[in-house]
Amino acid sequence: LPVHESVHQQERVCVDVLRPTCSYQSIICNFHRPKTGDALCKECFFWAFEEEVHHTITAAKLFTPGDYVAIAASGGKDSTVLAYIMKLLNDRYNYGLKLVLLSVDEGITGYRDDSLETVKRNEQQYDIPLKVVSYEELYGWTMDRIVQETGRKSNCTFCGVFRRQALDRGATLLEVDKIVTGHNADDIAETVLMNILRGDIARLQRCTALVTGSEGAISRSKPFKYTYEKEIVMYAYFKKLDYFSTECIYSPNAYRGYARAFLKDLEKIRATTIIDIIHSGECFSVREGIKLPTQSTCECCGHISSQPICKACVLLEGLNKGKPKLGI
Amino acid sequence: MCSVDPDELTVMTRATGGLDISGGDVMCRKCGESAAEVVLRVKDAYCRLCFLSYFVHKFRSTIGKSKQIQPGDRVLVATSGGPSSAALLHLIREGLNENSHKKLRFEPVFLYVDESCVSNSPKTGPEYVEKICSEVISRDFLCYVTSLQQVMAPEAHPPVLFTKEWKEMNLPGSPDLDKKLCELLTSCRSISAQQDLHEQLRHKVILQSAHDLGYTKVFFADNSTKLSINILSQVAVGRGSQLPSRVHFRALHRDVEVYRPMREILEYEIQQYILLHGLTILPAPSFNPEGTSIVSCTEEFILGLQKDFPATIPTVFRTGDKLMSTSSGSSKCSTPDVNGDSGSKSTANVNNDPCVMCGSQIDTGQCEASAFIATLVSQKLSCNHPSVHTLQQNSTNRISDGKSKMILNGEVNDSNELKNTVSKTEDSCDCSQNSDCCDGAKSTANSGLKLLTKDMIEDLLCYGCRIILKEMTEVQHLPVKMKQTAAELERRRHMRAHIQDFLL
Repeated sequence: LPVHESVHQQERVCVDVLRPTCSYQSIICNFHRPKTGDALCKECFFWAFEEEVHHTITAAKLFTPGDYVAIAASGGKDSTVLAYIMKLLNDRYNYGLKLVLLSVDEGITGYRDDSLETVKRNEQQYDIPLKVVSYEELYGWTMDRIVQETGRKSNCTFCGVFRRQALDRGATLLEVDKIVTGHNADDIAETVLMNILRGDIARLQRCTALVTGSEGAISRSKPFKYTYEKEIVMYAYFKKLDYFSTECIYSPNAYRGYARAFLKDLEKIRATTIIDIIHSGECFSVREGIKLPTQSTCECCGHISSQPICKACVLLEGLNKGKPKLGI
Repeated sequence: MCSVDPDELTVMTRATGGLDISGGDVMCRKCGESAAEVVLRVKDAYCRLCFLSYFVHKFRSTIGKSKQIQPGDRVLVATSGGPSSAALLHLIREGLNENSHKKLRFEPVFLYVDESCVSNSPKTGPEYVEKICSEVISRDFLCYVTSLQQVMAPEAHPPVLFTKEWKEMNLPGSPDLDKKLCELLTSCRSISAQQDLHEQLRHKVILQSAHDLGYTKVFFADNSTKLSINILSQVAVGRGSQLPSRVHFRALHRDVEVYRPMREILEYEIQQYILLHGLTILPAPSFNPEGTSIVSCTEEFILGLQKDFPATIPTVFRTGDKLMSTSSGSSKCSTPDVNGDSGSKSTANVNNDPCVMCGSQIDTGQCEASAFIATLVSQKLSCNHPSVHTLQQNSTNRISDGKSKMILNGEVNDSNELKNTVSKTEDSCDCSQNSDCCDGAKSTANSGLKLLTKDMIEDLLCYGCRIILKEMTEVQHLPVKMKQTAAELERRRHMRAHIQDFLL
């Protein structure tokens, strides 16, 4: 028996030496934090993650007490964790917010049904009310029918334009004060790179803003702006939060895939590049004398648009008239 | 979750098969008379004469439309012996020779920076100095030589004029400086940081040489391909605010104007030009570490993407061209004087001094809700920093009752305090030990240098240089001049803090 014990002792010592200990408590951790590489135990990681989001929210003064806030929920990892965190921080720090989950049903059988199930589960687990708006009720068309009409080439254009407006319209129906979306640091860094590659100066200026939205439109903010995608997944994994994570069945190989691959390669070389890219993006502004598209409102539906008639109305008109190529 | 961006503006079109002119039967698209010898932009065929006139026109118009280079201007041209430099040398010679009204009218001299001490083949340094500089003087220009290790010297040796009687010992430098430079570069843990640092040092040496020789205008031979790669890699290392000064035609660095006349010409076009004129390329020994780095990854990405989508490099380049950085305002404003106290901003933490390492504007003086502050918060929260330790001790229950909120808010709402929580303790320590430190007397400069810590220097650097500093194992390897400037700025800050209440 003594022999067994001493063997056990040895083993434990070896393991202690190999595994790092948490920066705060001297317990052994089994992972490194993706963002900074420091070793933290689970509890401390949760705390650091939550504190950082809290800091982003308070530093940018995103909310005022009494705000009615809609959380854009798609059932994916970002929105599930976002809903969880918003609820947690609202309770812990008394933001005084009234929360609601807002989900968009594009009408894609198989894909959307599953993710909607996740959102409905979230409604119950986190005790936040849910409102679903669908393309059907807003525009009279589902994505399945649109793809039937237009084929696979430009369906993403339709979906994207409609989805953005759908969120706004749903939010207006609910009469919320603010919308929060789950865009994370990886998304924003990727958008900065994409906009440089495409030469989209106007977007480049706006994409690193924490809060977007102009006169009349409901402001949207991104509390996860400085949160790494890997950390969101890690948080969800250790907290056992459930989410739905498949790619849309209609998604093509978008040009964005290149920017994404590049970003992932950079992240492997140096983990902080994601935030570094966001910092670079924040430092940009446009030279004097460069023309930017002006923003006004659509004559048809009143939504914000840089053209006299917004893209959604143009696309809809095309669909309704049986000329789906209109506007592409 | 769908990740496609709505309303895509420009659709990137894939390249479909290029034009094949090997048969000799394709005619030039411009004159239609001669057989095509060069294919540009995948499908456009040019004959020799039309291509050459197109190429030369691009160069001339880049210079001409800016109206910044006047007749009689003295210009220092930095040459490396590589393709762009060789093409630039040839273009300038031809341009000056021209008898027509289109003749280039400025007075160039050339500068070669020897980097052999940090290359893989240090012994070949002198040989390449001779080769490259002989090429320059064979075209009837003056050529100066300096070496990269001059950046480590307290007083840089001015560049030496290359003559036919050049001997190896004429090269300014010493083994001691060589060693220091190598130590500095190897003290950075990653290749990305080493390359970034090397780039800053090289830039510094060239500007220093221009200053020593009395030139206020410098030409860099950067071409469009290199600049596009630069744009993305600079964004990736957090130097987005410095893009204008690294990419625009004209950039101002203190009192020297930097120009990039080859900036609209692609690398491929330069290669064709060199072939047609039979120019010699001399690949000089330079700093070229093996392995993946941010720059190498970016280069691979851009060149790969360019093959499939030929509009990539021009688009990236044009985007970079339209950008300004928020900290510098209009493109024509000059960088602020180091010693000038700006009267417009009254808070002590607004930094008008340039970055000690790279000389650009400091871009870390941003608002609370910025990426920079977010990184500081993450660092403090993740590594149990002494300042955060008190935070921990004060909030016994992690799921707190609002106590930790107050403390965290108190610490973080004053971003200046957050940045200086560590350096404050170091600084006060410093001042009490060196009581004459604050007099700023040069004689105590050296003792002040030894006490320079990473945190003290960190505040004086821009975002990109901070990343380099974080990777350095030993701060003492930094060039002496840099440390002196840092120490001096630190003392001035103390002085300023003392009299803060009385400044208007």
